[in-house]
Amino acid sequence: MDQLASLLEGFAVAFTPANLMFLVIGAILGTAVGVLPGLGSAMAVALLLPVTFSLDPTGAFIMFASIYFGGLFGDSTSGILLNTPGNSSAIATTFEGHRMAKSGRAAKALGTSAIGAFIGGMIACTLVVFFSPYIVELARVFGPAEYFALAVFAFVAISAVVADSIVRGLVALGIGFALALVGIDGMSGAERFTMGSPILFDGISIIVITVGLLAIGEVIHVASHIRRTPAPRMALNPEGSPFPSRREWRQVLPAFLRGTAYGVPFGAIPVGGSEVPTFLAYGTEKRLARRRNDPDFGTRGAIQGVAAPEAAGNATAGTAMGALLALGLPTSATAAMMIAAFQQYGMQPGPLLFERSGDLVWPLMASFFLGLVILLIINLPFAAIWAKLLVIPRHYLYAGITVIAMLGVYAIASRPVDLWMALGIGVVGFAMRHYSIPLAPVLIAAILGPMAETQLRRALAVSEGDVGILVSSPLTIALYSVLTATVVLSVIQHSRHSRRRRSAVRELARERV
Amino acid sequence: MNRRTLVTTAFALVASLAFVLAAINASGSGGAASPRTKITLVAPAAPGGGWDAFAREGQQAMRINGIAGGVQVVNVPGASGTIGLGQVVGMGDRHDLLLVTGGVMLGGIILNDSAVSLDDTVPIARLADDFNVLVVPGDSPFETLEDFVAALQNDAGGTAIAGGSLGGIDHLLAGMLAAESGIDPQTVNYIAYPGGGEVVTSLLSSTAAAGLSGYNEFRDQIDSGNLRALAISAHEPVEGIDVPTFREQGVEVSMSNWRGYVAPPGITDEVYDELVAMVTELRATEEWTDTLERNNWVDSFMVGDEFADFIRDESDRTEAIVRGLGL
Amino acid sequence: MTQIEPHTTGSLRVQRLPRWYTGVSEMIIVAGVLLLTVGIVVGSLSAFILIMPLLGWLLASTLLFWVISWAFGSTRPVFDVGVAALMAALIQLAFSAGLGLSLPPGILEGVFSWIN
Repeated sequence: MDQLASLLEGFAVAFTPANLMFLVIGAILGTAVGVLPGLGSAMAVALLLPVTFSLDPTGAFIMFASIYFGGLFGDSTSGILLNTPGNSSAIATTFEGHRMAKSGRAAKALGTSAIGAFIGGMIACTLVVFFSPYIVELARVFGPAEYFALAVFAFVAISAVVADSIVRGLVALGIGFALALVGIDGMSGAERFTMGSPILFDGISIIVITVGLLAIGEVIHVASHIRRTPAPRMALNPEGSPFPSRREWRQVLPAFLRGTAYGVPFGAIPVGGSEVPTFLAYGTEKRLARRRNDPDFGTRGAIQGVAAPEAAGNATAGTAMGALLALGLPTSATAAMMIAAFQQYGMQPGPLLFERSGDLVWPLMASFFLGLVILLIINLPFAAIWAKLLVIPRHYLYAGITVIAMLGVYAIASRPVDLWMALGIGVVGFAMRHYSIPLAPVLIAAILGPMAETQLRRALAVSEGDVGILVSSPLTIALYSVLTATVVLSVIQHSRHSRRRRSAVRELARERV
Repeated sequence: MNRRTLVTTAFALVASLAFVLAAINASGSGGAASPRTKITLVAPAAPGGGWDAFAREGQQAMRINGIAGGVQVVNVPGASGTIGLGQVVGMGDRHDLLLVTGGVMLGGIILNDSAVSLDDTVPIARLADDFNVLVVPGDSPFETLEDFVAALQNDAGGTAIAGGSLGGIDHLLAGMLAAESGIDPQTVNYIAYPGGGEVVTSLLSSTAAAGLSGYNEFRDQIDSGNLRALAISAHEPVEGIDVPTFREQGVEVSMSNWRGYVAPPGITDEVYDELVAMVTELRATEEWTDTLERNNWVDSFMVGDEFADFIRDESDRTEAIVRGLGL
Repeated sequence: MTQIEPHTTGSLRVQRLPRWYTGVSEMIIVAGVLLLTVGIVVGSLSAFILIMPLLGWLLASTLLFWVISWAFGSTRPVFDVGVAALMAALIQLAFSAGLGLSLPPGILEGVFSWIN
């Protein structure tokens, strides 16, 4: 309860007009920056760092925090509208979100994602404020063997995404792995697929892959049948309010909570990655949709497919912030940037932060809550306006997407090579669409693959080759057990289901005769 | 008809105006005549890393003291800085550019078989030294450096050391420590992590037996008891840091994570003098002194030929260690 | 589950083709249709990447926007010049002037330096 008192004090400090103004500015900037792929919140914080030097520390931090969260709201906006997620944590939201936009429900998708982000962030921040010492204990428990088990778990859990056609899914996974392998291997220094060119030493950025596959691939794809599908284009008058109706609330609230449940623990795990919980949430929703025979999922776009990943993504960000402040561990590039910013002001994130700089930290925590509220206020009503973006004539829309995609890729490191790679991957993306190869597994493989490999090799390096280390701790045993149980259960279910179907068909055939 | 032409004209005007403004902005973002008008600091790392912090601290100090009209930081991450190096070397005679460099880049150049090296640049000045610390988890059985070295000699493979990327200072230090203790550097079980934060995680989860990274990364954890510092890689004890050096404890290991600036190869003598003057002024500012103190960096100002010789010597030393490590 | 479904290749709807028809001839038809717009898109993107360092971001992205817009069927090419210019200008102002992102000036370098 001591924390509650400090938090309320923090609110008092944060609630001044000046600080509120910084909050709003940061929120708008963060959202705007989040929308552009390639220009992540890390870059935004870096670019704005000089500007904030003239402000007092509290004000500066409030602005950074709202930029951070704003980015998380914005990246799904561009994903939903333009099929170009602004950040890898928005990829999962983009799948169903863009489908909803194409079927005329863009406003609803945007509204749902805003609310999901809000709920996920709020719950995570609350947990952080009151339970940070426990959350931080997770860092001690997670070694490479545990991470590997987690990655395997995530792969299998997300396999629902791949299951539509095993062969095609595997092809997509293969492409994703291949793209992710390019570069110098961190553990051994060996060059892979770099073709001797130093430019490829750092591999292909995930943003290049995402933008190329989703945005440029889409542009080329639309170009290929532009002559066939005439004027009535994708946006049937985007009506619908962004606010969920009462019936939709009932559908969507459990999805929000499920997503948050995935997101909270991952933010606390150092370097857990913000994408994994979003993919897990998406996979779960897909499974549940199939179980209740939801016709919307995968076609028109189902709300739950937007709600859960968004909540997961923001919940992760919330706990990650907590881990940042409590442990001093950067769980993302933005967080690393924030640490640098903190140090400029003499604050050292870490175990002693609350003791040493409590009077700066509590207003910051209070501003997380305020920031989320303000972002919700900004994004919800604006959702309807953003949705109108899709009414723009197709030729302008895609021309705009192309230019923005190029800008986003260029913003990563100012290299023409990235642009070429994005174009090349875009062509691959077009071919994939042409042959109905799913796109999601490529991204999932590109993100999870390297993580799984690195952790596996680290675990084996520490154990000097002893494979037993992979199942040597209670956590790994637990994860693998749950995994095996899930697989066994679904195999049993599947065979029971197909046996029932086969006997039903036999019944019908008999009746016809 | 009239309204339509009005709207179209208005639109044309707005578009033209915006375009002109944008063009003005675009024209200004190219090179500048003299580094004093506008200078670009190229940080060959992603935002948030050591070089980036170094560049931004410098940017801040320069801005506040008006050393240059405009200062901007550009990030060109990748391959331990060699990608940024390659870009800057290719910029020939740009007058308004400084590249951040440091000890870590030397290792990177060798490891990545880079086509260019620091010999292809014009060294301007070295500004600050950062030192790396060898730490163990707070509950580790190793109380002193001696304990750790004994364990290493006993079973090098089973005593994993976590540190930064391959070829970086941490890796070299691990190799040097082994060599000085009579262990073959190639038997060292070194686990590379992308950043200091991850080294901390590795230690907290007792994955690695010991870790190496910059003092700043560990400072708070050391103070709170989560980590125990065994030795620091400075040549002499560092004021303000309460960790004994390797040398003090009888192990002849020392290496500093020095950082400084170099310029593209084609600059003229006037530009060279100007850049040296600017960096000298930077070092003398109050903000820079503050920066050094806050980051626990040590002032190690060195300019001109002396700096060029230093780079060459360090380069040779790094190469020897890297070969010894079998990379 | 053994209906013959319409064979969709994304750019061509070919209904209920017997199997021997798919293959080379389909590829030729498809290639012909694809070449036009797709070729323009890929070609203009390649051109953009090549000339951007020369012309600078502002001019190159204006051209890119205009070409894609035209390729996608815009009926007002002259008006589009204005739209393209405005769009490119807004991006330049927002990200370069506003956020400090460095976009290559190309041919415009120093053209307006008398203002500074």
